[in-house]
Amino acid sequence: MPEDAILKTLNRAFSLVFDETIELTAGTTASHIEGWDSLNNIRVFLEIEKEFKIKFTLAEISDLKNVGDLISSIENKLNKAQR
Amino acid sequence: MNNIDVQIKDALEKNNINALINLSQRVASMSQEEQAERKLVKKKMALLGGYTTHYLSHLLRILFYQQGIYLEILECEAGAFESLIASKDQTLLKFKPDVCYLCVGTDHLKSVDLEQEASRWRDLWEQIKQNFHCEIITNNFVEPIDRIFGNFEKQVPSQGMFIQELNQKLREHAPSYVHFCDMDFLASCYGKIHWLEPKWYDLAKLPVAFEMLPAYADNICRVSQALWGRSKKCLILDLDNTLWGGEVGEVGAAGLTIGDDNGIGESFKRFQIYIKQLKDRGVILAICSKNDLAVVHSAFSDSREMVLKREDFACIKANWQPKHENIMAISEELQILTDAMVFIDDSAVERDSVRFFLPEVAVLDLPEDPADFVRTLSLKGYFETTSLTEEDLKRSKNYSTDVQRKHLHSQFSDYSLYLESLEMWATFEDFNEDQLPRIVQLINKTNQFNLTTQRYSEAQVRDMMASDQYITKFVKLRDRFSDSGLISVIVLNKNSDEAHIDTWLMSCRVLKRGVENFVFEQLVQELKKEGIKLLKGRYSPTAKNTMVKDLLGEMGLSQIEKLPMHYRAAVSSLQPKTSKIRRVSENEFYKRSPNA
Repeated sequence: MPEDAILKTLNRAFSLVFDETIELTAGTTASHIEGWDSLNNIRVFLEIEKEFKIKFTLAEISDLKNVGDLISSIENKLNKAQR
Repeated sequence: MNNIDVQIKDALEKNNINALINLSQRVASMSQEEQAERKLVKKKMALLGGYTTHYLSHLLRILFYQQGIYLEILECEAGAFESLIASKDQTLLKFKPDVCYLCVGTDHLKSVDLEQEASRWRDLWEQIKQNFHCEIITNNFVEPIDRIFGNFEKQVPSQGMFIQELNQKLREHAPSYVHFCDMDFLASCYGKIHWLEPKWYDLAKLPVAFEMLPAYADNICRVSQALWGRSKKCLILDLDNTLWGGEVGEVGAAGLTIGDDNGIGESFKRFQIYIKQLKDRGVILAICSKNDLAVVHSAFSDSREMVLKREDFACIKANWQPKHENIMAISEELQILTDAMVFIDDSAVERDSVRFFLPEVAVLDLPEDPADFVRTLSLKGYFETTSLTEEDLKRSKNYSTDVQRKHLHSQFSDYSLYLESLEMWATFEDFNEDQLPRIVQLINKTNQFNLTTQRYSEAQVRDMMASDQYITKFVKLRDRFSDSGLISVIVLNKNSDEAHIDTWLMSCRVLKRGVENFVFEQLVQELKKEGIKLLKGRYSPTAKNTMVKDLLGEMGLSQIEKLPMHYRAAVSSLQPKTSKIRRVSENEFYKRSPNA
């Protein structure tokens, strides 16, 4: 899946969680989005897991720093799944 | 239906939890006016979480809202529940919860000694009750699937065995103000492998997997509904393709699909067996079918495979009138409010029409396949209860004897002669420990014949029993047809030579038999004996109790001019109406059997 397609799906997932239209970039972090706290973080990850049919490990959830990291992690997982 | 209601229904159908959480914020921000407009009842629940209750609270708010309740929620910091309880936390105290929910699990067990652990929880319950004066809903503990001994687990001392025994012990010794949310059942029912997601459990202390939140919250909601006397009481059933396969008007009793001959017949039979069991535990059954009455009667009498019999139904409406009109008629005849009714029909058109005309009736979306009927109905949990009394078990029988009474009534033109012919006898006794569960049940369930709709917990009733400030009386009624059991309760608050009617209620099953006259007659005697000079009372109007609007006036009390709902009378001036009911002692009450 190309990067911009992933970003588009991520935008949809984030908008659903935060109940407003959200435009992400690779540099977006939790501090850029109002309401992205630890509780909503769970919802974000659950939504992404559902959208892409992938699972994150505990370590990945703790380590991802920004949306760019998130996209490459998703790409990795999707590639692995294809192989 | 309102926009938000449609969205909630849609999100629940799709199990879209993110949408539900966002919708919950909209419900929470409803103004007082909006709440009033939607006739929402306000209730308060404190979530005492060993786990994260954040998401749960949103789901609870939504599900309670759907049941007509605006739920105010106080959440406590995850894990802090014990210290909050012990320290009599001020915020919690000020919040005055109606109910505390203990969101706990195996993580919060401390001891390896069964007795010690069980008494720790009992102490905790008692502290909650003493400090915050509320009812308690608590989880039981989920038997773990991560076993050490595998299949041998329950035969040796192990976590699995410990939890099984602890659950048993807690249930056995639970006081009446503690109600269980059966988590072990829920987890098994939805599959323990899916019930909990280890990752989120470890990272965020989520008590259940995200997708399981609605089912979990729904279960807490049901227990609360039962606690507040809001469970359903009556099940109204269609016949053709609901209780049996085929249309009896077309194929006749012999042509119906019911019984062991084939799979479909088996499915309908299983459904009938389940309904019969509901009836046996006190759910009232009625029929609402578009058929000729004679044809319906023949279906029950001529088909040998039929599990349900005509006598199992307290009321049969088989005609060609619209179903919502028949449901109204059933409601009137059985004196059960429509919001306590469940309607089951295989026709989507009939279901939608009942939903439209009577939105307060719970309408079951019956699945296409009769094989799924039992499961669909049972998972809805319409008939949850927090107690089981003798009256529950006798109830259905009593409703069918009402039919015999009605027949007798039709033979008399004079109502008082009919009442006399019933040969009624009744007790008028002080509250006692044996009758307490039923008394508390009536106090919390009775809506229509209820002067003040004061609700009291068992502990509060026990306090009134023990205090000499109160006169507490209950009435049991029998007649030649049946034993109606404990059907009326009256509580007066004494203050030197004055008494104030705090509670006066009666089960609607025994309306129009002069029980209120009997009660008042006995009460006035009692007041004179106690040296009470002045009797006061008040009517507190609710949406449901207009039938007792003029009760105190009819009994001879006068309205106080400036306080129109308040009444008073000098006891010496009261001249109670006589009833056709003979007062007997508790012993005598059981001596003569009905139909003797």
